[in-house]
Amino acid sequence: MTVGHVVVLAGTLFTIGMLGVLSRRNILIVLLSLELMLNSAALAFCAFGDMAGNLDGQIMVFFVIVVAAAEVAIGLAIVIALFRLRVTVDTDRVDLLKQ
Amino acid sequence: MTDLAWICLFAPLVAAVWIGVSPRFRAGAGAPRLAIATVLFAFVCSLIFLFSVHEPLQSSIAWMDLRTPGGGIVIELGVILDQLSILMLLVVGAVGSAIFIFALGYMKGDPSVGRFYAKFALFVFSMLGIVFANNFLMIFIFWELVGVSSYLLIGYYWQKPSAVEAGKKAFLVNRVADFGFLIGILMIWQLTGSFRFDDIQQAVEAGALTGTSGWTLGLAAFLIFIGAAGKSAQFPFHVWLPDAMEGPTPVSALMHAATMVAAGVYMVARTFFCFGWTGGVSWGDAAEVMALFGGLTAFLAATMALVQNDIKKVLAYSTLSQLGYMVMALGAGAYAVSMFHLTTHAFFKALLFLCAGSVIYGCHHEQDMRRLGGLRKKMPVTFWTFTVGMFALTGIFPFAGFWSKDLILDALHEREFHGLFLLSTLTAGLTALYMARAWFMTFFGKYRGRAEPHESPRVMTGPLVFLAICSASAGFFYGGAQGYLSRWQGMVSELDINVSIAIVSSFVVLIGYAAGWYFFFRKPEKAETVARRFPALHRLLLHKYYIDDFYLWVVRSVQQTIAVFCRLFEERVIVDGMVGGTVRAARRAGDGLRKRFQTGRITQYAYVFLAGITLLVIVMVVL
Repeated sequence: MTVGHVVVLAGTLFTIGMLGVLSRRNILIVLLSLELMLNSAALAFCAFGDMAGNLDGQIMVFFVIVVAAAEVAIGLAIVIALFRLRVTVDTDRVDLLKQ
Repeated sequence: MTDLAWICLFAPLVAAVWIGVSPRFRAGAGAPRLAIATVLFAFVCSLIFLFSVHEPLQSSIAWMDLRTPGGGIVIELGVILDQLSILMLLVVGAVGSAIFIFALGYMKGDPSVGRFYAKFALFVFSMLGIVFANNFLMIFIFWELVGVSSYLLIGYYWQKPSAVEAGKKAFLVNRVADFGFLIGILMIWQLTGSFRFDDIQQAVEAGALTGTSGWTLGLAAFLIFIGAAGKSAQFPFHVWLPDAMEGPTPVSALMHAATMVAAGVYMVARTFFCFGWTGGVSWGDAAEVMALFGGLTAFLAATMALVQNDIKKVLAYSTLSQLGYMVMALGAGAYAVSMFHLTTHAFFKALLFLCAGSVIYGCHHEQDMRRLGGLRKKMPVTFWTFTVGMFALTGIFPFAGFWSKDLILDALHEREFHGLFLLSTLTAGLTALYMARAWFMTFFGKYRGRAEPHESPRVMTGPLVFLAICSASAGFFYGGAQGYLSRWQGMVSELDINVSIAIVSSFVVLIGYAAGWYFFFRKPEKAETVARRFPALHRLLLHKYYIDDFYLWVVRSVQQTIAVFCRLFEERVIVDGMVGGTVRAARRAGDGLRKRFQTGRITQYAYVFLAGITLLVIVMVVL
């Protein structure tokens, strides 16, 4: 297993996450896909860190995990608030921003 | 000496401002006295200068310093004391004093006499500025000031719409002419780099201005003459002067007979070196055009005076005609003669106007000659002084006009302007005819008015007698005046009375008088027969050659059409098209962007986001 393999895996995961964000309408799935993209990025950091032979990549992973945790906390809070207000998790029905 | 000139120049301004800003002073008897004192002071100054200034003096201060490292100009205020300005100052002072005093009687009982004297003093200040000016910019500034004070005084009876209209007309016509004047000044400045008369004269006489420059100078001289034609009411700018008779009669006497209208003649005499009669440089075209316009004005105005019924209008057209003579003399290069005629004319025309004022005052503000008549016995002083003025105007030996008019004819003859010579001789006859008409209609026959006429008080007849003495005797100084003026530039050739010309012109004048006596005293009904015999000509004269109507047509049809077109262009193209178009375009663009891109759909935002990032990456990789 080389760095190349890991990077390809990370890229695949990132693309899956991106497609999820772009194509799905359920806001929970969108959030999940975002997590997937973050984690694929973390995986890529790990791989490049290993290649460079130092801990820089893994330090970055910590940051990614912290940011992801914060993001999930806020994102889920918004989803709950939204569901309470509108009784939906469909992003297409949440388009009041256009006004 | 120049200090005295400065004081003399600014004294009337101080008086005008003081009267103007202090309502209590304006209402009191002190206001007229102060104004009269300043103009008398100018008169006294002119006498002092006359006997003590032998060499031209100048003094100037930098008024506005607009110099830049590369060039720029200094706008100067200066006074010049030479024979020309002193003679003009004498005219303004003497005639002005007489008229200011006369106005005391004429304006008696007018509630706003203080306002009248404030404007009068302002006018004298402006006029003195023109007289003393030593550079073109200063003369232009005071030129405009004269226009303003003229506007103020013509519109003095502001309750009368016709007076207000006349004031506006005078101002506008003068402005049109002044535009030419200003361009002429700037052209000369561009040629010589200076506004000062002495610098310009040096530059011109050095002979460096040949070829294109000489041609430009000729054009500039013509434009300057246009300015002079505006103030001196020469054809085709003459239309304002008859209307300006709406002002009080002393105003007509001072401004529209003796001084303001003489400003144009004075200015041309002051800047004669631009008109090419010195130093062997010959671009005399401007001068010849000037002579032509002068002759045309003299003749046309004399014919128009024949059919006027308002006594002041007759005198107004007569003024036009006499100014035409002066301009003709200027065009013939006889500056001294022109200035001499200006002087004598100032005396006798002021006299005639003041007599008219006296008649109007004595007949309770009646100035239509058809309702006057028989005043010879009722107003003896006015009658005799008017007669003196009339003889002076028509050039009866030995009154003032005889000498000055004869010198002009002489000058025309010497320069071989034969057409103009004949025209002005004929005009002399017409002058006698219309003056005889006014004289007979006003002072002879039966009184046709209603209110009982009475002779005017001493304060009015006094100035009349003073001016009559001047009008009767000024002519004898023709040699002295020319000799005096020849010291001014040392180039004025002195003319002497040519006896044969004098006899011919006197004969023509006598024919004019005889015709006047026959048509307007002996058989007044004959005049109407003649008028009926030539209805077209009569109508032409009554309508003042349709020149006013032509101007009205130009304003109403041509100018109005252009104005309407411009308004449409402005409304439709500028405002609706360009301003409104910009607004509409911005709004449409905003609408489009908002509807197209701001949908509120998160996935779409994410797509845009992705596209942006992709673009950034591509840019970073490629660059």
